[in-house]
Amino acid sequence: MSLARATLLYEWRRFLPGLLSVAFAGVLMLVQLGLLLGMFGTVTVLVDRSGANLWVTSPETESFDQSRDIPANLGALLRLHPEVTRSETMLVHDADWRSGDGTRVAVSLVGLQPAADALACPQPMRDALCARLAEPSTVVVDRGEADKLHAVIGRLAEVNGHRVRVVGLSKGLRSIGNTYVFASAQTARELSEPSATGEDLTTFVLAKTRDGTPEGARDDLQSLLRRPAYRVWTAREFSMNSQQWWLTESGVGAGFLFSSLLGLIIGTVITSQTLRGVILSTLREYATFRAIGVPAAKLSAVVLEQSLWIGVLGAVLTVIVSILANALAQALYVPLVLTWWAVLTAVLIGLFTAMISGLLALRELYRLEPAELLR
Amino acid sequence: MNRSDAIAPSISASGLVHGYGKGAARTPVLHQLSLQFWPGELSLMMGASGSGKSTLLAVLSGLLRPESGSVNLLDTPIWNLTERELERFRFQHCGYVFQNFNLFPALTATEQVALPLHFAGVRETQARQRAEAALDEVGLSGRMGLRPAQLSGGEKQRVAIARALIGSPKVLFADEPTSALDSANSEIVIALLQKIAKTHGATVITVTHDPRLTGHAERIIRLQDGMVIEDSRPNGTDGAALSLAAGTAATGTQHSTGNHP
Repeated sequence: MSLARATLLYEWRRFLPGLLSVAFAGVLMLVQLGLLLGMFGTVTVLVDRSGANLWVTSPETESFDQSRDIPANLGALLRLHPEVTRSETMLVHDADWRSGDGTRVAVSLVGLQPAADALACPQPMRDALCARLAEPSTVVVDRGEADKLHAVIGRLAEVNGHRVRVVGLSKGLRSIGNTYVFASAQTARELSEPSATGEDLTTFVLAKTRDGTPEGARDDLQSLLRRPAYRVWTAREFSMNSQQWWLTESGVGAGFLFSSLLGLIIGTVITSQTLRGVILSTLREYATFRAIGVPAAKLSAVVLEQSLWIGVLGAVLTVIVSILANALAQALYVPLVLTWWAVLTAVLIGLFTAMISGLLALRELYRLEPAELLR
Repeated sequence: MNRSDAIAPSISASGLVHGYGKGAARTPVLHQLSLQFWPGELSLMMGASGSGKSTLLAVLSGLLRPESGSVNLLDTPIWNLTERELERFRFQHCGYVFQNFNLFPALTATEQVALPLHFAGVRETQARQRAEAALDEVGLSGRMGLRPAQLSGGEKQRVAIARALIGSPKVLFADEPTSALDSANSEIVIALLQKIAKTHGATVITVTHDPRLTGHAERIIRLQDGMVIEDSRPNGTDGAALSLAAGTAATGTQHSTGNHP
């Protein structure tokens, strides 16, 4: 049994604050990152869950929630490309929701092809819900937002003053902004305010290419659509760009970095103080071994082994708590995304924090004068 | 000095000067002290607090570099060694026992004693065997699995002595080893230190202000204001005390002679 482990086990209460602070810093970081990714995921949920791999937007669009209307007939142009097999439109317009009991909520009305295999139909709705929208004046809303909208299956509501009926509740299709209300393209057009020019407009034109590599088709179509300018994206690009925009331009990313950094600093300070306290409490013993002639480096190894253990145990605790937090979030329909790379990063940062704390605490050992035992 | 004729001293210090503080605030602690110690003997260094006995022990044991003077420990001028060499020298030849035992709370008696070997890279099983033998020697064979919290003061000090013995040191330095103990335990501990001096042929130097210990010492050195005022052998050759004391003082400076009683 090494001195480091024996002391850890015997005086675990002393080490607990350090361990907890490492774990806490890790959980703080992971949950924040998870919420952030979850939140950004909601920005692009309709892109990520759709069957399309090419998206056409208005030229100034940087994020999914920013696109302005474009002509719906661009789809016909897209279909001329030999790689493109299908194209569709997706309409996303702001609308006014009014539930049966008079609650008013601003929503985003999403119009799509009411078919199970529609490109625009997001994955969790493909089983049944999209097809159900073929019935005129029907809508689907997300389970996680149903309370807010006072929506119940079968119950009536109003969108922009037109009566609609809720025919289903989707799962995992929450929005970062206004709640999504899904309807067929036909229904959505009827519920929207008509365009001033009478031109057939939509928000996005989607397409699917023959194989899984739409980059070639994108380049061709982009050069074709230079004037009038539209932006052609692969689904992946569009999703990444939207999330990146939210991360960098919205200030949310900076907030995350700041609070994570704060958590790490607090974790390091508490852990190093914990280790320092342990060293100070056994300073005479360490001094005795310095007197015997054991080099300070060998005693430092004891402290560093302890910090490593704190890091490892703290990381394990981080992972356990994060998994529990994830389960809780799923149960509450809170979009939280826990990725393996985020967990790995948190574990490594936890270990790093603990080791830095150990190194900071070593000062006490190197300051030690064994002759002071003889005072 | 019959003794020095027969056996060479294991420790020989000369012209030790040390003080704390600087300039006008300097408090001198050791005044041109010269002393010799021989193997197989337990020497008690006694004196009031501030007499310089602990500082002397620190200088003799290689823990505190004196301002001037030299210490030859086992024929090695230790204060000419580098810090690293001195560490290695202490590790190979010196044992230390302190007033407060200084045992790690988390370790069992066996683990405490084996720890120096652990740092020396000795294999676990071998370290354990040697630790058990050392604990047996100090009479703790029945207490090997206990932690400091489960041991009495006397037992703790014996564990500390076993730990000091584990490297088979030629010299053993003890600082007030009995001051935290009752008389019965003090008796056990000092008798043990004396026995170690005999059986291991070790040089044992014990700093104490405890008069109960004098019966167990081959030699008693009394210090006052950083000078030796008495150097006697209570059970040894008669007249040795005075001649030794005089001899020690003669190698010192004028004022050490002046302070001689």
